Amino acid sequence: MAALRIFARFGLSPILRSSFLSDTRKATSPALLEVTKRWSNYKSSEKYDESKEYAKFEISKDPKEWAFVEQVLRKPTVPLPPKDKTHFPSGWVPQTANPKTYPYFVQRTKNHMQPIYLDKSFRGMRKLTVIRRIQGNIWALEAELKEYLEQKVRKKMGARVHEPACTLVFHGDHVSRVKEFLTAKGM
Amino acid sequence: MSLILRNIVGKFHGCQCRLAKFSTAVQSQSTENQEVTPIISKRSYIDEDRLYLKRREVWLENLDTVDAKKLGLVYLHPEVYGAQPRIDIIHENARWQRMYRYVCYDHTKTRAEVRGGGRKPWPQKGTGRARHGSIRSPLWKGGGIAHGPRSPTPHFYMLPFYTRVAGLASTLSVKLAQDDLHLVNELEIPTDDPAYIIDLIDARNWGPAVLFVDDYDIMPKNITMATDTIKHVNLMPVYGLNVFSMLKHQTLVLTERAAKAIEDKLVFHMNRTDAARAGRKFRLSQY
Amino acid sequence: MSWIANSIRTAIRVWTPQLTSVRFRYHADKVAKGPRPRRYGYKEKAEIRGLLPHIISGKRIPMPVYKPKNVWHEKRALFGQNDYIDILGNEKLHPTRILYDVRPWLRGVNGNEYQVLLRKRKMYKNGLFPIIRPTKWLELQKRIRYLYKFLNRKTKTGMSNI
Repeated sequence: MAALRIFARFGLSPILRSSFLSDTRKATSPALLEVTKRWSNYKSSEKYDESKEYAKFEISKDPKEWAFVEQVLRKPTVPLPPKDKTHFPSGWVPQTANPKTYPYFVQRTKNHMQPIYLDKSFRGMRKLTVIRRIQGNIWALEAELKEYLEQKVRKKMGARVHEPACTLVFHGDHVSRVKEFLTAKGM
Repeated sequence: MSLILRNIVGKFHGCQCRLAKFSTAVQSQSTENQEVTPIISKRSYIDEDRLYLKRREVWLENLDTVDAKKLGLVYLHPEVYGAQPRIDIIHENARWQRMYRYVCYDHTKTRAEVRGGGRKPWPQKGTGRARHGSIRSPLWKGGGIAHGPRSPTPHFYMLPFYTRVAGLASTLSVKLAQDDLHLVNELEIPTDDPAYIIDLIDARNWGPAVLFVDDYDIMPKNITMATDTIKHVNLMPVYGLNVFSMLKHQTLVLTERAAKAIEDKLVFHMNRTDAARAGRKFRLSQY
Repeated sequence: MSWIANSIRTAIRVWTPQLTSVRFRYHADKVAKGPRPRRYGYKEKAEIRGLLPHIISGKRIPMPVYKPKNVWHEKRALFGQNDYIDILGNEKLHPTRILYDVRPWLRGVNGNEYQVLLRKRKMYKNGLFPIIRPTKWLELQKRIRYLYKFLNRKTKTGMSNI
């Protein structure tokens, strides 16, 4: 069987191609053409030509045109938000406070969002509000936030301060309240 | 002109008696301050006014004299050189570096692999002896080992990309905070004598082990020859820098270019838009 | 007749040497010699001296002589170099690609014994290994077969229960 296959590859195909296919190429159906091209081997297969895949193009090196291309390309790093604009349709508020005005500061993430997260565990039974990237006096922020939240919720608040990791954790889901508190301070 | 002035100042320094310094505190150099034109290497960071942390200011020193000369001041990015000292992250990094390449080749043979033992040593009943089916059972002397180590046992795991970035920033910050990070303008030294490097390290109170880092991997000839025979003084390009080596060597000496290169790389990774791609899960088939 | 008896008696008395008893064995010597050896040649294996600390009898396992390593040998001094090459250098080069001291098929591999052996078999089956190491190859196959049965038939999926 294998011998037959080899014979078919080397012996038969040139004969077929010369005698049968050359003059009847237009007439034969595409199915018959594919029979002779088996591409079973890496070496026997056709070389990939990339230029065939695309429409015709010409290469331009005009810097003015390149500026338009750059607009479409993804930026390598996250750009700074516009300084003069304060209101955005999405409701996102930029950082307005000078980091040195308060004894503490909650730094925005690289995407300019507030690093406040809801941590749900035990199938959603335990909810924790995690505030990250706190700089300066974390204990001052904890005291102020606790007071603020206790006024809002009218309950005693449990909090966990992890000073080495700059993280503050409140018990319960208070993400939007904490965001309100920080936004009011311009953080 | 400034070069000539600097050379004159260098000679002044040579004449002065050597004083042991325990920190890079500002010294009163009333006469010299007028002569030296200090190199203030500033770089304004786009997010400087948005950060709580202040930029780090580090003295720029020289290597061409045994005693240190302060050539100027370099400002470094606070998120790279003044990050929170996360000892836990540093430990994670150092542990990962040891473990991810470690393959244990300890090996024991099981009862199936020890030669022989196919025959039942004696009949099941009637001999008065305990029943046994193979002389290579784990109970027997010379038998196989049950639950022994099997070779090879890889201990590979991949630390997340951003834990490694944080590890580098944290270690650099710890080194700077502990006054173990020094900036020099160049790695050029006047001789290729190892004694010069030993003297220099001694005079400047750098720890016994020093790691010199430059941004390019072909180092100046003199320092290469001088440190070749001293095992605890090593040279490394920026791309070879790692947490373990920084911890192993007491003092880290960066050229200004290297410090900037590290800063550029780490700040880029901290702010890149395709962070999710960089930090994606390691799959063996993808690399 | 009595004289005969007397003369014989005297004759005997003459011929009989006078016995004075001399002692060569003294009780003091016996005491000094210690207790009489009993079961000579037999070694008591049990420790019968009461509550005493463990006594090591026989040859001790030799304690290896402490030889400090050269902690600044080049391979240790520069340990970990290039581990952060994807961060500080070429981003396309992953640190697992340059672990030249690990076998190529083990770079970046983790898993249990079965997974590692499957990979080993996959890597070695097309080379010379099965031909020049037939026993090793057989044992590899045997171990994989055993582990397949063990893991699939005798352990539970999910959180380990063995």
